[in-house]
Amino acid sequence: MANTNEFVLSDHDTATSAVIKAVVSKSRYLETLHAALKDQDDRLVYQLIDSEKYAREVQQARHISADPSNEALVEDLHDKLSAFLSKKLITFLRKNYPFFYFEEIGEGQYQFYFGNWWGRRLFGTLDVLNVSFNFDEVEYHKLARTFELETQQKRLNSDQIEQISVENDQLQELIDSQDKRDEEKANLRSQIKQISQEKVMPWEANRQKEEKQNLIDQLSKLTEVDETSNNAYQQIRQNESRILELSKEDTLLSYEKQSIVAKFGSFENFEAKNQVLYRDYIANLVTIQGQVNADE
Amino acid sequence: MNKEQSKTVIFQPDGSVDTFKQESVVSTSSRLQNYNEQLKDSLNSGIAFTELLDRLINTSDPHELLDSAMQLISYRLNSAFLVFPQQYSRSDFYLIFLSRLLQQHNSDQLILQSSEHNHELYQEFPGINNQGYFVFQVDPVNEGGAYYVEKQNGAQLFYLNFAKHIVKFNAAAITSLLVENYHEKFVYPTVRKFVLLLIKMGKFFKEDFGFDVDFNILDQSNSAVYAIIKSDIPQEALDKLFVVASRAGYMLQTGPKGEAILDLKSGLVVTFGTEHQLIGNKKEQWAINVKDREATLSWFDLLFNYDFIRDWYLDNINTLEIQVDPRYFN
Repeated sequence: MANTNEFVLSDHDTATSAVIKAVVSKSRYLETLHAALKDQDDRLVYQLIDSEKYAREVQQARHISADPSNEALVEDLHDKLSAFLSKKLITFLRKNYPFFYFEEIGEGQYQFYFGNWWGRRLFGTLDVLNVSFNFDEVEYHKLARTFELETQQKRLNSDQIEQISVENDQLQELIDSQDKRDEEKANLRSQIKQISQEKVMPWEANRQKEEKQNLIDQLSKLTEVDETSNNAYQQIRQNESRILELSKEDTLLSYEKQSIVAKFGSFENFEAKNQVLYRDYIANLVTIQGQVNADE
Repeated sequence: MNKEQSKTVIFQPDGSVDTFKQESVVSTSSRLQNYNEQLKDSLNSGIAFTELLDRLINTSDPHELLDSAMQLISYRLNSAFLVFPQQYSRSDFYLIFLSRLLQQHNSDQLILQSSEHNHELYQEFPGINNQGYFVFQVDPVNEGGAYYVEKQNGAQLFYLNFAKHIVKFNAAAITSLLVENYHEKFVYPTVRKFVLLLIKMGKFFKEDFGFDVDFNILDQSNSAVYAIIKSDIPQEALDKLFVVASRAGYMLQTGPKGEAILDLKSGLVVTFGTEHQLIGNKKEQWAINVKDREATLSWFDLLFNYDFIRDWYLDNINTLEIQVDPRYFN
């Protein structure tokens, strides 16, 4: 006789079939991924590792029935998947962004430089799984600003260079006018001496004192200028290094700008293309796959 | 003549030695004889000198030429008994030698002249001879050595040493004379002709006598690396080059190993990098390399022909100057 005090438990057969179903689903997911990797079917791999993104961004894709939770199964394999997917992706990017130079910095990790010119800037890292660029914000902003300044026919650092150059001209003038100042000082000193030796009536004493103070003030002003002048050489040298740095940056930016204009026509187009890079790339993979299938 | 009574030493057949004072009659006769011998020696030495000079002037054999020149530069023609008032100087023999060497190779572009005024020989090169002439200056330190010098400017274009078997060109002098000075006065083809002659001379030394020739800044070989005086990366200078090259319409590129590459035109590339980066040796010394399709251009040619490179090089000469052998140039 059964003990009627026991709770009613769920049916074991149901539990068995439920867990088997779940495991089969995961197993199928992994099998499908396994096959996609073996077939070098990058498109399918992208779909499998982030079905939601794929469905959202790739408009022409049909509804994906795969359970997104399965994607967590390969989370710890992201670096390896990235390394796998980078081959075709970087080939694609080299063609479409010929001015980016990719450098591998770890398994599946890539950074890229803008250009092949001297002093080229490190411009960001590549997110292979999301097919997107993580631009270095500071560098990206400088480039964006360069395009904005185009209408004013200015470079990013034009104003600053101009300002420092003016400062240097002034400093040079200080150095060049040293002789003149020395002459003025000698003149002032002899005037001061002369006044000090002059005997005046008591009612003129104040006026004389004022006059003398005035000359002394002029003299100390000139001495101050001398001090600035003494440091001028060093300051000029520092300013020159700064100008070089800024000119170099302007030159880099002008090459970057030219590269973007040559490939995309405008900065807006470049940005617009970056926005749809994932979709464009999947479409490209589909096209390639289509060609391969047609050839078979 | 020796007034002191000389002692005569007689070696006896039995091995003993007797020493005694000579009678003065015998002594005088001996002295006369001695004097005559010395005179003959001096005359013979003079004759031998003329024979050497004959060879220097006439021989068609390069080794005879070198040998006679080497002997003549150290020849002591005067003796206590015979003085020749009209003589060529040691530096003149270097010059005659060089002219003869060129002559042996049917190259008569350098003209050997003699100056009545300065009592010296000099060489001049058609096209640039209104701006100066060339002589040798004997190296006061190392035996057998002399500098080939432009007389007006004092530029020591190269150093020649017969004893050490070396010829070494001097980048500093070539830059100051042929680049800075001549660039303002002469067109490239004229200066180029002179440079080619200098290179040719260097090659004769190498091929005829096996001298060790350092062409330095004139080296046309594509594997030539011109080491600069700054041993590590001339960062500031390269940054400047990046900017000025861009203004001149050229792009300074960065190479895969961190070297800086300037593509001047098809088949002409100049690269700045460590010797390791440039030619794969173990040296981390920074240097310049020029590659052109025909391997006929050197750093000199680029300095002469590309204004922005010349201005840049001269502005940054304190880091970029091409190294020369410090044993012979300072």
